[in-house]
Amino acid sequence: MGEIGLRKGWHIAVLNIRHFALPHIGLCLLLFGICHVLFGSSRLDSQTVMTVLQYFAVLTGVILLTPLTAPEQTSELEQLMRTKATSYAYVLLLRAIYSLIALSLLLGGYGGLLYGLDSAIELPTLAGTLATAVLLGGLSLLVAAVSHQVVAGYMSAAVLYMLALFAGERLGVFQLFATGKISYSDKLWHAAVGLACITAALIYKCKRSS
Amino acid sequence: MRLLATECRRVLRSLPYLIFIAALLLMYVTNYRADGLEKLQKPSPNQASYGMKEVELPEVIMPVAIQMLQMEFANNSYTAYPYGFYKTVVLSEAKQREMAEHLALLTEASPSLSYEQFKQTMEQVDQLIGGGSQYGESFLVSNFGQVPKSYEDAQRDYAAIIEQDHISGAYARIFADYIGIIAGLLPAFITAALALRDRKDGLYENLYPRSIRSWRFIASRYAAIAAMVMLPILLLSGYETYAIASSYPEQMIDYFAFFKYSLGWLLPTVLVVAAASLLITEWSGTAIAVALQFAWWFMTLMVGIPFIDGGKPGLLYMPRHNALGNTELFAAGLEDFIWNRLLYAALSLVLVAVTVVIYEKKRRGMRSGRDWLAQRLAHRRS
Repeated sequence: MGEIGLRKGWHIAVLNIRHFALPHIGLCLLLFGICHVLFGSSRLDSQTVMTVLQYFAVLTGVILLTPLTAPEQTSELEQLMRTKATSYAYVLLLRAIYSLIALSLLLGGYGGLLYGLDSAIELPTLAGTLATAVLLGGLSLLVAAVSHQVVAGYMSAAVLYMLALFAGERLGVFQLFATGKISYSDKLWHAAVGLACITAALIYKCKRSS
Repeated sequence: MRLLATECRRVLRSLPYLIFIAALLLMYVTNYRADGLEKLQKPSPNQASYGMKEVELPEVIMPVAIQMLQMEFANNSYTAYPYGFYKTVVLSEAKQREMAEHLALLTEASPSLSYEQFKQTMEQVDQLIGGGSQYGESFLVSNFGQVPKSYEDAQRDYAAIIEQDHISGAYARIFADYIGIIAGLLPAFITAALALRDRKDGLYENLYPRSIRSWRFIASRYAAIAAMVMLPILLLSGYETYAIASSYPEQMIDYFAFFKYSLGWLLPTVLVVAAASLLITEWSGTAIAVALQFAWWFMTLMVGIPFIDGGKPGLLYMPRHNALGNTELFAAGLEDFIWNRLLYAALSLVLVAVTVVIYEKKRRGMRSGRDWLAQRLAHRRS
């Protein structure tokens, strides 16, 4: 069962990535390309690296995580998914796992590229970016899952981003853009709340399917 | 009218509209109310400071800018703000040599250097750095032309707020500045969500064969979105007028200022954002409009930073004026401002007209961008 289950999971993940995730991964690469055009990639100082990661790279979380439930655009499709032998919850979990892995790999790859090109990037800054990306993506996914509207999900992340731009420290631990050093406790909060949102979104979808 | 009322109800019941209201109130409370509402004080002589003002005086700008360039050249570290973001630029040896030539021209010819020559050289310096530097046209005066305001300046500013703005006008500009940031993005989500909801609910299959004219349907939807977005903004305008009137009971305020700025300043922003989103969503059948609008909004926000004090709307679809007062600066740029607003209002009408054409063609069988792409991909795979 173990090997068969793994093979099946792998097969489902590959199909989902090919049909649904690839355009979003492409969009993330496009975003990194825009960063390269705007800021360059080699010999960037720490402040420029912070700008690129905090303002741009964090958006990869929204791009990759929000559409997890989007393939089932209509309730008919969702019903159809639930009639399959493989449980819908299992498919959603697989999507969440490969999306989080893709997010980590993309951010890690971009960070590695900056590091290789002599830019002043540090591991905690990159980890903080991943945490904020998970927060924005998780929030967006939760709203999209509960409302059945992917646009509402994107909108909730956009509103948090906008408020963080203007309200700054008034957002407390949800302040997204550090002006000086990154606050580790804030970033831990981001990761924790982001993962909680992803879990809540999956549970909500699974409860509806049972 | 019935169609318009139906569309208004659909907007009102949509989650993105509720998120819009929440974001609007949050922006109003956490930014406009928190930052922009200090009570006006009549300037008194011998105050420690009256603030700063921007002047384009060669004798002020030239020495400070040249000194800064010398310092950055010595460190080979140039500060730039491409698209509003901080960036440190390190030049190659060849470019540093070119920079040395510019610097030599600026310092050696300094006594005989005209302001025009200085600006031309600084433009070349800016291009060498890659644009967005402190020496470019956008930043040169605002960075190096700052001088302290005199008591007379402060008196003139105060008089302009009282006599020209009738107090409420000055507050209404900050209000429009903050609310414009919300109005410049979120209507795109409301519009896209509504169009995508139609697709999801299978509304198009019912609507396409009906006898209703395409322009009537699109115009009703567009008008409903614009009206529903403007409704809470106008309600806040009413409340703000009351708040300003209560704060200045002894003064004669302009009771229509907030409404004038909301309709003249914010409405064209709402119109163009909703129109662009409507067009892209109807054509593509996807949520890509929100990503494109986010990119446009973000770039405009960042590019607008040098013009944040107001008076220079340029081609920004969200003009900025983040200062209480600056009445004369605003008045100086009023003609540009009016053209800017008319341009975006006209553009939005063009976008809506194109949407009607696309909608009509879709009713006659044209595929959406999404379906076209899906079919092409399926064709390639097979």
